[in-house]
Amino acid sequence: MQKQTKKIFVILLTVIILLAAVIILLLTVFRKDHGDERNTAGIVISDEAEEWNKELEDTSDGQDGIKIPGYGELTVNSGDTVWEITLLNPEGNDCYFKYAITIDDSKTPVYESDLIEPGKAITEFEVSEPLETGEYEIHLNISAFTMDESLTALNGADVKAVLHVI
Amino acid sequence: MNKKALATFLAAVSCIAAPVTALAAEGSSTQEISAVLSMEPTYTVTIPATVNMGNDGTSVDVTASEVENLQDSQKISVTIAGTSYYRNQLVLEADKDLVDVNHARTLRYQIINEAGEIIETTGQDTAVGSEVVSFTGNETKQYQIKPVIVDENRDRLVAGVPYTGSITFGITLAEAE
Repeated sequence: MQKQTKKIFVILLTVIILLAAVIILLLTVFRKDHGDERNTAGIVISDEAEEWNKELEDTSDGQDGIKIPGYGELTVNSGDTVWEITLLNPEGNDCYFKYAITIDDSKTPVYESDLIEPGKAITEFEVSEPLETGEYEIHLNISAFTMDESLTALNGADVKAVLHVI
Repeated sequence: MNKKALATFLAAVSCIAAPVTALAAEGSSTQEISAVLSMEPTYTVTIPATVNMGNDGTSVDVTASEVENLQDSQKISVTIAGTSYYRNQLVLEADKDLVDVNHARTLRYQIINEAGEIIETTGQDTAVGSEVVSFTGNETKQYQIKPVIVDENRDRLVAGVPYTGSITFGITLAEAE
C-alpha cells in the first residue's frame, strides 16, 4: 500500500514539474511575440504607440505638410526612468515619425522610438538613465519618413522645451 | 516516507505559484501620487514635407495651430536646426549615377525668411539657428526658398535630374521681441 502511495506521489510530482515547465515556456513565447512588430520590408513599427483620440483641428487648409507637435514646459520626477510624455504623430500626416530624445547638448539619446504611424502616440517610455533634480533643455528630435518601402527621409524637426525634474 | 513525499509535493506546488504571483503583481494597479503637469503638445506647427522648388524659387507655407497658453512675451520660433548635407549646408544633391563628372552634383539654395533676410551658406559658415518664421498665435506665415543659379554653375546643372535634400527645423518657445 505504502509502495503504491509513493508511486502516485512520484507520478503527481512529474506531472506538476512538466506543467510548470510548460507554463514558463508559454510565458517566454508570449513575451517574445509581443515584442517589436516587423513588417515584410523589415520596418520596425512601434508596438508601444496607441491610438491618440484627442481632437485636432485641421487649420492647414489641406496643405501638403507635416504636423509637428510642440511642447511648452515638461515635468518629470527625479530618479524616474519611465517618463509620461506624449510622443505623437498627428493624424493626417502621411509619414512615419521616429523620436530621439536628447538632454541639453548631449548627442546621445536617452530614448529612441521605433516608427510611429499617423494618429498614434507613445504616452510613456523608459529612458536609459534617470535625471537628478534640476532644469534641463529637452530635445525631441523628430525624423519623418515616407510610408513606402523606401522610407525616404523627409524634412524633420528638433522640438526644444524646458524639462523640470522635481 | 509519506511526510517526505508531501514535503516534495508542497515544494513543487510553490514553484508553480511563484510565476503566477509575479504575473498577478505585473497586472495589479498601483496608486501613485504624481506631480507631473501637462505633458501633452500645446501647439502644432505644420512644416513642408520636402525641400521642393522651381528655378525661380517657391513660396512655402508654415502654419501654427492649436496654440494654447502662449504668454504675451512668448512666440513660437521656427529656425534651421540642420540639413541633410555635410556641415548642415543649404545644399541639395543629385544621384551620382545621374550626373557625370562634367556636371554639378550639388545645388546651393537660399531661404528668404519672413523678414526678407537671406539665409544661405557658402561652405564655412552655418545657417543653424537662423529664424525662418515665428508665430504668436494660430496663423500661417510664408518664407521663400530658391536655388542659387548663377553664370558659374548654370551650364553645369543638369535639367530634369532631381536635386534633393531635407531640412530639420528647430521649433521652440522663445522670447518675443
